[in-house]
Amino acid sequence: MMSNQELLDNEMGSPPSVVDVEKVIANERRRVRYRRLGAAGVLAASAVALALVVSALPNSGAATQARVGTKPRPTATVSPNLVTQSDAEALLGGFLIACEDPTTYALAGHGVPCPKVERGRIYDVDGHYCADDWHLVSSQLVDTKPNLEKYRPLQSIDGVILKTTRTPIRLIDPAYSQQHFGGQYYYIQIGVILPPQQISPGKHSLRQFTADHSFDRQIPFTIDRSGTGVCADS
Amino acid sequence: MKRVDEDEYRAYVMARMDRLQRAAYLLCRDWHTAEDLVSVTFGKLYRNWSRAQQANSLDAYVQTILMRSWLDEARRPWRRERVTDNMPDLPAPDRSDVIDRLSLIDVLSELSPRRRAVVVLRFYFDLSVQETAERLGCSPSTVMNLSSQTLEAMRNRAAAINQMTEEISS
Repeated sequence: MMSNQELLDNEMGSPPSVVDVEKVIANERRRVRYRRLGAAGVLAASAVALALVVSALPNSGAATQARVGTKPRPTATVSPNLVTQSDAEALLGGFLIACEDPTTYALAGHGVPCPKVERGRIYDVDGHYCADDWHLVSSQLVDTKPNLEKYRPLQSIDGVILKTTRTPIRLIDPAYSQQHFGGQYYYIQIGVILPPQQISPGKHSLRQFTADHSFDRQIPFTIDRSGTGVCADS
Repeated sequence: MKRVDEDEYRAYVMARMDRLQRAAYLLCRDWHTAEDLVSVTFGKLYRNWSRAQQANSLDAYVQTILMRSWLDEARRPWRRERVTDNMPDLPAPDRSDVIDRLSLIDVLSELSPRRRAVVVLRFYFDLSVQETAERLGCSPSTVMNLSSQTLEAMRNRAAAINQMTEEISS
């Protein structure tokens, strides 16, 4: 007797083509390169900003001379990899789907640094996130305006309903929308921004759902402690 | 990713390619979309390869990514199909060849994305209720309910098709 799998295999036939694994690998390598470039860019920008601030200080040269020969004081530094409040706010306004492909990063808009999307947005099943980061918990949808107006998902973490913000309904870049969706569509995000340490380290469960249960998504994720896991990259 | 890891990754995805593409086809009923879904799945697997290797079952990890990708994909408007949790009334046929095209896969395509995912996991991958629940991130009782309702609907559909076939042949 044939198994269910054999029956269905016979009925569907063979795939006409196969996935180009080398292309997948090349895309992912490119994505990693962009992430590194993004992190390096943030670091460079921070250094330039710091230099500008120091040079703008009155008598900065004299102050530097006065410290020669003294032990420098330890200063608090913010890692460029950490997701800040402004990053999380930018993520909430951004068209995050554009971050799926390095060639469309520029369309993410709203100053979203795409390399930080994976780290800052709690969205991936079994994803690991850092307790030191600010986080965005959101649901983004692309659709027509009337459908987006009706889109009212709820979000909960470990059963606690989150108080969410609705972004305005925004137009997707026309060329992108035409190419990817075959027409002009809009997008919206419904999300909440959480400060560091708001979610305790350990395993948690995010649920995104609609009241009528037409959409119900469970996302188990883990918050790593400072200095461990994802936080070790900070 | 190191070259040795990349070789392992490549070997794994090549070995699982056919099975996953077929499963993806059952979910979306379109070979091109199935290829996209499997590409997305392999991309996510590449990014999480070291974590995936530490999972209890690499196949389970990949099946979970595929199902999540499908459920996400099904929500996008350019992929959206008319889906329903209730089986639609059978349309009145005017040609007998309509019957020939109504196959098991056709019946599957009338289910909502989540129900399709349950059917594919339970009856194509031959997973238990518990395993299916883990892949979909829901409770075993939800899977049991969805399975029994879906099977009942599919049986009714098959019975209606048989009745139509008899009426047309007589």
